[in-house]
Amino acid sequence: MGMDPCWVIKGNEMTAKTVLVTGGTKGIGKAITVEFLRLGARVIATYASDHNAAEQFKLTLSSDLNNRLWIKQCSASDYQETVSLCQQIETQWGQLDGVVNNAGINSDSLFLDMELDAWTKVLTANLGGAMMTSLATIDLLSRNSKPTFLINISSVSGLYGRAGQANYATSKGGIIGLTKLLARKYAGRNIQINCLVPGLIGTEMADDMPPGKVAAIEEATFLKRIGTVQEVAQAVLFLAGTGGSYMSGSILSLDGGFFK
Amino acid sequence: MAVWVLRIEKAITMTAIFLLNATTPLIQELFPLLNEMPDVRIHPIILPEADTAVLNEFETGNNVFLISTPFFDEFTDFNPGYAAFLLEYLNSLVAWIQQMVRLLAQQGKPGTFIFFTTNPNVRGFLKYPISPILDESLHAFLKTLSKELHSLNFHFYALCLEPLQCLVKDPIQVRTYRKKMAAHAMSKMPLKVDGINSIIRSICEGNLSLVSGSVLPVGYGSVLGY
Repeated sequence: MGMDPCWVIKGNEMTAKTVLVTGGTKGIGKAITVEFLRLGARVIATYASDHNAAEQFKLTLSSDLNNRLWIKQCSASDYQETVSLCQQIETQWGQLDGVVNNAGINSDSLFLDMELDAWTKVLTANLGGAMMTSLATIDLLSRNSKPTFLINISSVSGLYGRAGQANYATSKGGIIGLTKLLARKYAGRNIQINCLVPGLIGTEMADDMPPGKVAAIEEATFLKRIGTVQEVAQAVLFLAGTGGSYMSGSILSLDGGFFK
Repeated sequence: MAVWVLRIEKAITMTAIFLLNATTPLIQELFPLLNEMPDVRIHPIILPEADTAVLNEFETGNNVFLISTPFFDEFTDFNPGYAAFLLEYLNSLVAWIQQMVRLLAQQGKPGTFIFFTTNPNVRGFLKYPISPILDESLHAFLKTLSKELHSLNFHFYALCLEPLQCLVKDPIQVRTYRKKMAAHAMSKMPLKVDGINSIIRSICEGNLSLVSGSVLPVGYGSVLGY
């Protein structure tokens, strides 16, 4: 089989592709959106409520990138809203080439102190969001004549559990299960379905943590640092591109060697 | 020559076993076997009235909660309705577990929670219910709680089961299973509950407290590597 010398991402591979990134205007999602735009893709970046962050994000981009960016307010966990967004995408661009289920929130506390409201909110936003977005977009993805991708962003908490994050870990664990289910269920539809499992990444979530806790995690990581949003975005591009063409239902860790 | 024989006897402590979703086929088959265990009192539980009902049944020895779900088949049933149902199910299950842990902690009594889960690898062997989303959620949940609550003497396990014979009764399915298992497993029969019972017994006796937070694949080795 003939391969380009460097074929993890081919030069124009993302050009004119249409990608939906949930939670795509902040943190990890923002970095993913920017990387897809840089490679020539058209991106629909959704956000649930933070209108200001979405506006600010738009201002930071060049007009070339802005022309290919569509920012939409859409709750990932609302199935009907996402179905309606898919219809708009189809009308506007005729196809959808990829989905990144990134939207997520956290509300940490010890299990015995955890309010049911915090539990429900996190589970609905993270797991509910990934499930509903997948269900709403899978039909449009499978109607594409070319290979498409669906990438779920989970967390090391979902793989190994984490004290103080019972709700977050449960939701992220469910996303790992969702990946296994979808990859098997839709194997025949030419959709690469994989999951990325980042460790602690330098986002607002990390900023909200007590400094001592971040230092402890850095100490427990082989690489002695937390990850960057760009590193996560690069891994997403790998899974979305030719590099991930033989991956299905994979759970790819990106944690700097975090000691579990 | 004098021979001294040191006889160690384990202190007899009473264990209470609470069966959540006691009407599932797995629990129905396990029930008589669990009943044979010495020093055990068994309490079937029907949600949601369980909280006050069990309050006076806690034992000082151990309180074991067997949590069986009705083995949802997400492969065929995954749709928006199921997704909403799953979130609701998880919410109610967690609220109940939190209540149990709080009640036990207030009384200074230990607790052990055993979740029965499925193994996604069995799909393809035969038409058999698997619930990867529910299972992986529960696995992450129990790993977290195991880390948080070990010091309070709470332990959490998942028994990740191969196909159960009580759920594969159709002879054609059993034949298909045997055929497909030939290349994979030591035994070519679906899993019987006897083996599960002995693991539960070990957990009840506290022999596995140092592996709290574990997801234990249970079966004949055909679908290990969960």
